[in-house]
Amino acid sequence: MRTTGVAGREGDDFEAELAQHVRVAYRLARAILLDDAEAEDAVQDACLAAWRQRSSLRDHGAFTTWFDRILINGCRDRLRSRQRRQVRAISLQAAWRESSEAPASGDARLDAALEELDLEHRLVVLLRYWLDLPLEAIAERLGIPTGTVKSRLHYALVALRTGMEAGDGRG
Amino acid sequence: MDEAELEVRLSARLHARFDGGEPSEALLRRIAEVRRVDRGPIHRRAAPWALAAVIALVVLAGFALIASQVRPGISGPSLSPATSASAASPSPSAAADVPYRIRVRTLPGSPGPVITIAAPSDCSALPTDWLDQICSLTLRPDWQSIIASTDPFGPPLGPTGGKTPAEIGTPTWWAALTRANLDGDPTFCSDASARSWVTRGSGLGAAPEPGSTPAPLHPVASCLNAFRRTVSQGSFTLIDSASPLSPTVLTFFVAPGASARVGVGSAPAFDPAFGCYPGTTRETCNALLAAVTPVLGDRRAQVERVGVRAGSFECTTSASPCPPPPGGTWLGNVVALTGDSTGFAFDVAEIGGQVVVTEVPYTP
Repeated sequence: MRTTGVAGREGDDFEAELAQHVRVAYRLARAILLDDAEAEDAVQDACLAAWRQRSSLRDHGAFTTWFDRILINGCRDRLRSRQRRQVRAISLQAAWRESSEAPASGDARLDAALEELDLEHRLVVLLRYWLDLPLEAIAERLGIPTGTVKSRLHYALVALRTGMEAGDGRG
Repeated sequence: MDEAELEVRLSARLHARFDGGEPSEALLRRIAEVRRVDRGPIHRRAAPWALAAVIALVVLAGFALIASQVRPGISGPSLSPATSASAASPSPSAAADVPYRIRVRTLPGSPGPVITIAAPSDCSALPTDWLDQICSLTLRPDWQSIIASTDPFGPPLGPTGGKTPAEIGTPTWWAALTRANLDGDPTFCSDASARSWVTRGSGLGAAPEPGSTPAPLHPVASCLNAFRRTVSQGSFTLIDSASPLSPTVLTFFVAPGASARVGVGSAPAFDPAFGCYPGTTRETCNALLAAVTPVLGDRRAQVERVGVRAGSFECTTSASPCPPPPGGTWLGNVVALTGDSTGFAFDVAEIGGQVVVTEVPYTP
């Protein structure tokens, strides 16, 4: 792994690194926040924060993990702020989903079950099953032990399965 | 479904949903200039929340306009006492309770047995006060005896705005919807409250794919379709996620005869997205929509969004006190917007017991 002190690097290099990662970062923010516009704000904020904290990045090879952690923390703050505005969600499932625009019913149930997960469980699911990251990489990005990642994944899968069964009408 | 199968489905679904998003050119430009952004004021989108796909806000924007001329008035039907007098919250039902059947499940966990709710005391089995209220209110015999004048979102918010629990719908709103859904009562779908709620997207349909352009919304038709799907399935599910790790799932079983009732409902030809804004009541919104619809005439074919607001059209953008119309009172104003953002505006007043509709110029 290449180790480079970024503090002394030209700003152009750092900006180029950000630019290379921005597409992936935007998709991650969008998957967490489920809102295109807010995802753009989150990425912009994360880029600005990364620029200001660039001297703290000692390991150039860890740029992606370092940046994702900033981005995920920013998304967390945004979701918490959103939860303060809307402390309760109540929803009609399955029958009230529009058949013309919704995905197939199995996908709709899976989407609904995913959205019922709390933030921390949804995050590990996204990082594991969408970005295909190993448990250790997830732990680094979330700042938690690998064992906690495992237990959150286990719980999330149980909750997803039961949520889908409820959506099936079998519950 | 075993764990391996779930993992495969999950991975496929996540890739299908999230692989394709592209950041805007504007964001890429801003990030390419992050050093300059750091030194100067941070450039942001003008109004981040305004870009959310909430049609109601788009309709609201239509009110930020000034009318300068008044055309001759057009008289319409008078506001009936039945609608104008019912602006208060509903009183406790004088009619007999109508029992219904539910099943309660708290996730993760096994579903409970199907129970019959025949009296408010039966609702004590529910884990939250919110669900307890909805459960008790749903015993009333029809949605009209449940719904409140300020539903679906309750009284206007304070000056700070923002989302509150009431903004997802009040207990009376959810109970009225539940009762109508149980009964397959199509009249509910034509009410201004249902049109507003469906337009706002509170619970109808999956979220549109990011970046997609939503098709024109027809709230009455969407509501009726949902009722028909519910009746064909025999039940519908309501989830309260007050505790995100252990949401409560209520399954309601539709009443016998619901199929016949919902079968006779049909959406009107004029079924635009609809917003009934703070300062109005659902009764007023119903009356104003009914009064303005015939005045629109052939122009209805062009209209995609309609909004109703208190006061005259001119008053909606004026901070000064709003004078009443000569010899009467304002019932409100209606803006009808077309797909290309042109529109039509109408002031509606009650003068001498008659509803008078006056078209005023719409100037974007």
